Amino acid sequence: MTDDTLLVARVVASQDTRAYGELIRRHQSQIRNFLRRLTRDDAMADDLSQDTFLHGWNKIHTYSGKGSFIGWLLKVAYTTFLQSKRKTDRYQEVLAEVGESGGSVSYTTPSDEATDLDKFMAVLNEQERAVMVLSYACGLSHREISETTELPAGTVKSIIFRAKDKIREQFDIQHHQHG
Amino acid sequence: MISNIINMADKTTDREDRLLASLFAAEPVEDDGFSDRVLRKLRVRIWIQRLTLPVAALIGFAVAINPLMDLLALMPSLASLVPARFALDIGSVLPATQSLVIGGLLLVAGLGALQLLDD
Repeated sequence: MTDDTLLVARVVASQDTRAYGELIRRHQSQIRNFLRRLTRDDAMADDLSQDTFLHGWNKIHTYSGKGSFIGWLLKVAYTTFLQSKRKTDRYQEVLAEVGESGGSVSYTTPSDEATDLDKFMAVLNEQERAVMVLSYACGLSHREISETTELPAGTVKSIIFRAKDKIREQFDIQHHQHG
Repeated sequence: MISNIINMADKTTDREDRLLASLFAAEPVEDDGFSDRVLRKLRVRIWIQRLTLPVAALIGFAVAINPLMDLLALMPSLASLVPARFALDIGSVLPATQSLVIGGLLLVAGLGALQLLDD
């Protein structure tokens, strides 16, 4: 199997869309899962995943080869998510200013059929959610999470600690099963 | 695809962590044409980027061609307004045709060499 770095080199050197296609096929599942966990909306997550790979194409020359390519891609995905969220928040503010209802876009409100995970996520703030997903869903180390979120490693550790504390406070997690 | 970047060194492995990991765990997402859709969109974008400059140049040329032709048509009448002595002085300042040809050839050769290096 060709190494990711080799494929990246082909993309950077000759704008090889086939090599980039192979990178997309390899990592689409992880990126989509990450964004699905963050947005809790499959359609929105897939749109953001698409944007992530399109942004990734434009920025791929900035990948230095230090660290894993998926770590770099997750960083692009997280930035894309934050940008989209900012836009949505601004849109909601404008709607609120003119007295309209908030619309249907929501990144945080759990539905009636929320799973255990949804309920856990609902008690966390955006940053805690991202860090917990990167740690427990994507399996990144604290160092990799620090690189992805651009937070100091110590902050990452304390965010995880705080998030677990919140979950512990709100739920008896020993009795929850995978949902 | 199962993550190949799991680095368990930084992770504690107590029961709570395992439970959280199982809660956060997700089934791999089937591609279902996602990669092909992204690639199609990407290729369209690349073509748009490639075409932008030539199309802009073409539009610029189309806009500029009429005023340019008008200016060229006016040139003979404008030339008659320039004093003959001044025209002679200009002629001595401008480089000779031979120099212009050599300069042009050097420019073309230079651009060709740059293109070869780029390839």
